[in-house]
Amino acid sequence: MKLRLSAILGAVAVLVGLLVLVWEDLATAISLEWALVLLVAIIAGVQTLRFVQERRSTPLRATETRDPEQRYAAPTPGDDADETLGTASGWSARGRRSRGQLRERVGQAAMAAVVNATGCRQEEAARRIESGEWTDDPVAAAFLSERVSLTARERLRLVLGSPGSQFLTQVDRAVKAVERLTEEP
Amino acid sequence: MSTAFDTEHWTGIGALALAALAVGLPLREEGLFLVALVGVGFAAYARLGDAPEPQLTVERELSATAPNPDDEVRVTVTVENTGESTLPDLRLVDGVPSGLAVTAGTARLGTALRPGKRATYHYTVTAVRGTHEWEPLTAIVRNASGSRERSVDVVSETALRCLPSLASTASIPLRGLTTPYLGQVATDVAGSGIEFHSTRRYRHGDPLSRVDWNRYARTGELSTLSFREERAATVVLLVDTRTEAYVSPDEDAPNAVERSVEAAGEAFSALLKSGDRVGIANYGPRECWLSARTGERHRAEARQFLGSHPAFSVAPADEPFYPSIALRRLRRRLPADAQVVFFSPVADDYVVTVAKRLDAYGHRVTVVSPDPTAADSPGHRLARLERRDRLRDLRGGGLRVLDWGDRPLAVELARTSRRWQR
Repeated sequence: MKLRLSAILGAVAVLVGLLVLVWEDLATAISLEWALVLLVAIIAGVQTLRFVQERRSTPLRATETRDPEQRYAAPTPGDDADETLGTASGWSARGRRSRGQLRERVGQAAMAAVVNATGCRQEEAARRIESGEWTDDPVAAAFLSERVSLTARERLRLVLGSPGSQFLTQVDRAVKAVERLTEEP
Repeated sequence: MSTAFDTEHWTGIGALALAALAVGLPLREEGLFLVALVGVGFAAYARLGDAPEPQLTVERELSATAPNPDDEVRVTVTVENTGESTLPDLRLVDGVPSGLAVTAGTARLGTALRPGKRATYHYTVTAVRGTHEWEPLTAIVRNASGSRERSVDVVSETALRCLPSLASTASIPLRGLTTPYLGQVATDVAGSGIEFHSTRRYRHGDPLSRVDWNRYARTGELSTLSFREERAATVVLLVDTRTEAYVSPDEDAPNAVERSVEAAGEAFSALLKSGDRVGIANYGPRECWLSARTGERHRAEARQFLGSHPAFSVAPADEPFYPSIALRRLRRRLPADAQVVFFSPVADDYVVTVAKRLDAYGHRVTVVSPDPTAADSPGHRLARLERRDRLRDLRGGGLRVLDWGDRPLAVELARTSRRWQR
């Protein structure tokens, strides 16, 4: 409805303009009072703002093209773990879930490594992880066990030594500890 | 028929006319009225005409249609405007197959084409094993002002076939499951051969060359020497082609399936040379089965198989895959005396079960595992630990496992097979 009204107004204005071209006397009939001119200017100003606003809220559209020059790039094993690690910060339910998943995965890797390195049974390995005696890295030990806690000094060093997320450093240290365990002869 | 859409490039151009009017009217500036006219002109230009519907034909010319792996192939693309309208703004993106990388030039062109005119451009791809079919070329057309756009796909069937060379450099030591035929796998069966096995009492008809004459001289008893009989084996080279097997340490490295197929080619050739019967199969969607045989014709067939069977394509298939049904089918097809050489990156837990089950069914399994892991982030290192654990699990189950790193397969085999010798 609004569009139709403005279209009619526009059409009338164009017609009047054309008529003025033919019939110059008509121009004198149109009052050019200051108030009327100002009104037209204000309408133009408001429309300008509307158009600018429209431009600002309209994104450019174009067909997305693929990158055919590149080969199919296969993922690397562990991309999923890195992705989980990316969502593991914060106090949201998702962050907590991600942290839980990663702790479990690292825990399983640690368990397998302890069993393999010492030749002990699963239960014994679980006990060692629980007590933290499987590694000499306190951060890694505390990461996999709730019974092991860091001293204030170690905690401070962990906080100061993690430029990014503290959890990331903990995972990194735990994975390194497991790696050391598997690489020792 | 494609649909055109607004690119919104000229949205708000009316503001230019109106702003000049809004300022010019109260100030009574003629110059600003003129600026407003320019604005009106632009607004009209933006609405002028739709993006033309392009009618194009595409021809692709390859400098070689059956190159060897790693050869450079020059692709010449010629596009002709067969329609009747001028295309003022034409952008072309060629559908290079996902398995090929463009190493020189670019697969894109931006141009304008009048009716009946042609545009040509080149780029170079590096050939890798497989059959690579070009996807349709995408043409994006805009009108002169760029306010409207449409895109169409232009089909032109082009294919590049690159077969592996099947160099017989890596000979995989086989396990002691053999056929009754003569070959090169030393078995525990006593008979004729080279390696000493045992002695037994002489039986009438034993060949004189195998009588232990030293013992006869010492004791006066006739006895016969037995050697480890050397027999031929039936081997099925099984390649893991599930989506999970498409992994690689970084973007530039070949993925595990490509490495597996390459290794299978080398092993195939070497095994065929030593008189074994070799077959090829995959474990993944798009089933492939080449039964175990010998002979030069079989070799040519295998080359075709490894080179162009869709099961071994460079990118994973979208088709559904039912792992346990596939395993059952595979088991039914495997000859009873076949041993399996299983090529898999072992990047997930399920494949461990598959290998162990095949071994338990009596097909002695050797796992050749191209290492797809990287160590550049905690997640990647965690995955590497998990994979090592899986390999350890396989070794613990009595399977032979070759963890194949960056070195050539032959070197890695020479190192590992020393450990395999009993």
